[in-house]
Amino acid sequence: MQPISPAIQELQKLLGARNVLWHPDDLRVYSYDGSNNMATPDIVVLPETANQISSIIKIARRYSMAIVPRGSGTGLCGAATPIAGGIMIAFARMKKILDIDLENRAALVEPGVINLDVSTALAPYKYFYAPDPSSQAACSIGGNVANNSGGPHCLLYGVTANHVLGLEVVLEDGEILWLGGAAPDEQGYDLVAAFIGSEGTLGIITKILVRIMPLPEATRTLLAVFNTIEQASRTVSGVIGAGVIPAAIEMIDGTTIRAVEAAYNIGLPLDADAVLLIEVDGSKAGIDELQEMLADFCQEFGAREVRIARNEQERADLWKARKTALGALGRLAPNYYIQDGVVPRSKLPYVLQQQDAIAKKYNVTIANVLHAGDGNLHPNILFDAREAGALERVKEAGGEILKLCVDVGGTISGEHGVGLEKLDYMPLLFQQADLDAQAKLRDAIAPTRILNPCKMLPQGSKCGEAARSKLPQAIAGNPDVWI
Amino acid sequence: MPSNIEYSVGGFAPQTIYTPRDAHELAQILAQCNSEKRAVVPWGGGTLQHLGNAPTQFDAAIQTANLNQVIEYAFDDLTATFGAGMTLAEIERVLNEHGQFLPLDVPHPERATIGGVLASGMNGALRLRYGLARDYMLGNRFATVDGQIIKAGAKVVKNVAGYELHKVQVGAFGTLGLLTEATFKVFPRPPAEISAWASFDELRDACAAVGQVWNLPIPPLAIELFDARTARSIEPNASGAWHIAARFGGAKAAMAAARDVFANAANENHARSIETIDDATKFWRAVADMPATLRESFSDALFVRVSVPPKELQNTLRALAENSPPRIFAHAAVASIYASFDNASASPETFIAILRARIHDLHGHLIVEGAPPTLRKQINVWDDVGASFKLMRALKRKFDPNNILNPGRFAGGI
Repeated sequence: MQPISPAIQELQKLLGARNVLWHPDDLRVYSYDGSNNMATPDIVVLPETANQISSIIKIARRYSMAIVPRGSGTGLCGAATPIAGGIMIAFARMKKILDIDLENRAALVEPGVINLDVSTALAPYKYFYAPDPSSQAACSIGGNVANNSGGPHCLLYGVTANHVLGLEVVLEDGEILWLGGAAPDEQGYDLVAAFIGSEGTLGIITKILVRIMPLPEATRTLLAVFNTIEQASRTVSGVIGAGVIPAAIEMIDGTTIRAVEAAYNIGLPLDADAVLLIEVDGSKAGIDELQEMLADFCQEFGAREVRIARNEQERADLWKARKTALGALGRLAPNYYIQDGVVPRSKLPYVLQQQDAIAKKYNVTIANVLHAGDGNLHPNILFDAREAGALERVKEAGGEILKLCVDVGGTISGEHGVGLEKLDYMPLLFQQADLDAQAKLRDAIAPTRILNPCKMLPQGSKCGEAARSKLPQAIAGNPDVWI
Repeated sequence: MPSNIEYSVGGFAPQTIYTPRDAHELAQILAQCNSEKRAVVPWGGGTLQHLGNAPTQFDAAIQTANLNQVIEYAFDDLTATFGAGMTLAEIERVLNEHGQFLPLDVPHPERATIGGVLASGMNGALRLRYGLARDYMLGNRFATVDGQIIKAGAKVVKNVAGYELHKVQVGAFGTLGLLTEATFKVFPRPPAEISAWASFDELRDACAAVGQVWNLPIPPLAIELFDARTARSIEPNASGAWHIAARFGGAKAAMAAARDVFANAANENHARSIETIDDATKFWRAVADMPATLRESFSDALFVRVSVPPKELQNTLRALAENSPPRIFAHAAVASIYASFDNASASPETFIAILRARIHDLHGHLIVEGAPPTLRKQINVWDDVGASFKLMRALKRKFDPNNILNPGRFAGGI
């Protein structure tokens, strides 16, 4: 048993012993998130208030320890991996919905609140919180804000950044500040925009004022089956090009369909190469018109079958194919490496073709689950981590897919974030001067870099080396990180 | 050769007016001004230069008129990149060819440039449905004082790679850098539209109707509110003390229903009359121009913009009208209110201070957008920025250490 350090003693005094974890067994569960990275924090703290977080940051600075915030640990880019050790702030005790204000269309929540819990709490009032990451039953609003998370329905409603009105943040000097609020057009620089998607590097978010919306009066869900993925992707660009914006257009490919069928037997044709799941929201008046238009589009682009949900149960059934997809992939391989590139929607047919070629070149299987309406690819590269050299091959294939995305005018991450995973790929997208300008933003707000160090921006310094040297060890020593 | 007087701000005219050929030359000029510590005011169409404080120093205007190209327009992807000097009218013409548009309904589109509108943070009635420019701007490029052109954001509809530096430029008055281009998610024009107007005797009823219309199952694109005098300036026959106008867009079948639900909401709140707006295009053009119309028509008046949480709309309008009722025009559902006071009292400082105290109690703020020159010198056009100002100042120092970009114009004296 290691001796209790002075930092731990100070934190225990501040938070009570039960809210400070330091035993290696306790720390282990905080050493990984949804990404393929692993690193153990020195201490995990479970604060309840912004004031406590302010004191925690001051203690961390005195002992020169990094601060790493962690929501539910569902992140896919390693933003919550404590690569430089230090103190991890977990939000398990900050899960209150503090206020629901229908007149201002706003809800005030603590960062640990689970995404779906917000919409559940709003449902009796017939309101909802629009951003719906696929992990919404587990992920936290704080994590969503830190990563600017998306989800299937952001095609119509926009991403997290479009739904945050204000933030309470604790700065690295311990000051607690409000940014934005319920009144529109805050004066001065748009610091709320700067903090959203900043992956915990600018400050620790302690309260979030989210925008809420009335539930749409009517929803229609269609599932269209295609013989080729090309037909499906042409349908997507056709729909968008015609100026129709459904609430969501999701695509799953044949590999994924077969995995889903094997696991859940929901009645999708095994010989199909792609299905599109299309949802439209709106008022009762006009929704039939929209539904017909979309069904016609699918037929026109070669759908061999279009299923339309007639009730909420059938809607849930159609969504099941999409929502169970990632879990079902476990049938095909023990591990998958998920990518998150975005391409212009009209480039989807070309990009999916090229991606096939990349899969062949590296001898890997790719199962595709796409937020197709946004051009947001989620190729899941399947592999077995126990096989020597497999991970390297998979990462190379992933890198090549990202390069493809950038080459056609897209980006390296649509909703998962940069964290550690995409650091090396930032130069594909940005010149050094662009990255330096981003560093100026960070250094203006959080110059000491104790907040979530080594994330977001490639630093080419010791920071990056430390990150890289820890990764292979973490993976080699802990095969269970992949589960 | 442009006259330097045309480029004056707050009584200052610059010695030099640069009209760079392209973004590259603009960046070089900016770097040169920086090395010589000459203060720069970025200049688009000049339609929004009345906003903010007078500059503390003004040596050169940098005109973006030549940055007026469509850099990329992927109409089938609903994305477009425009040079900062393109006017909104030109952008509208380009997008309209494909039935698309940018929901930035601001005054003087024939002159206002996209760069200037972004830098000023200006917005219009359609913000209710489509959000602010920062919500549908996907990325941009801006020139920095060291002569670099920085790319921020991306050109696709979803992107989380890196900090949202492009959004921080919006509403920053060019105090961090000069926009050279911007990429947007553009929108398909709704297949059908309908607009309607309702008049009320009581403010209480008009505000209640705003709330009810906002919550209709057919969500409105815009809900605007006018006092009697402002209403008559666009609808000469309007009678009643308060008036609201709502705009709906969507499937054809939904539009008749929209008119009905609007009428019900208005009737339930004792509307004295309800009408469909016949020439909606002309009407919404007049509404988009309204901030400029009010400011320019009553140039002796004190013209302010008030922002409060939506549920304080009625309280705020009452507070504003306490002494002499101003002309009112508001993006009602978002509670962004323009007010024009004819008689701004003998001591404008006190008048503004009292108003601001009331607005602060309602968790809002008040910015002065127009005032006679003598009066303007006595007041701070910006409201108190609050504790986050230290971060803003730090940001400014990083991006403009010599303080040459629009010095003194911005909130908090940045």
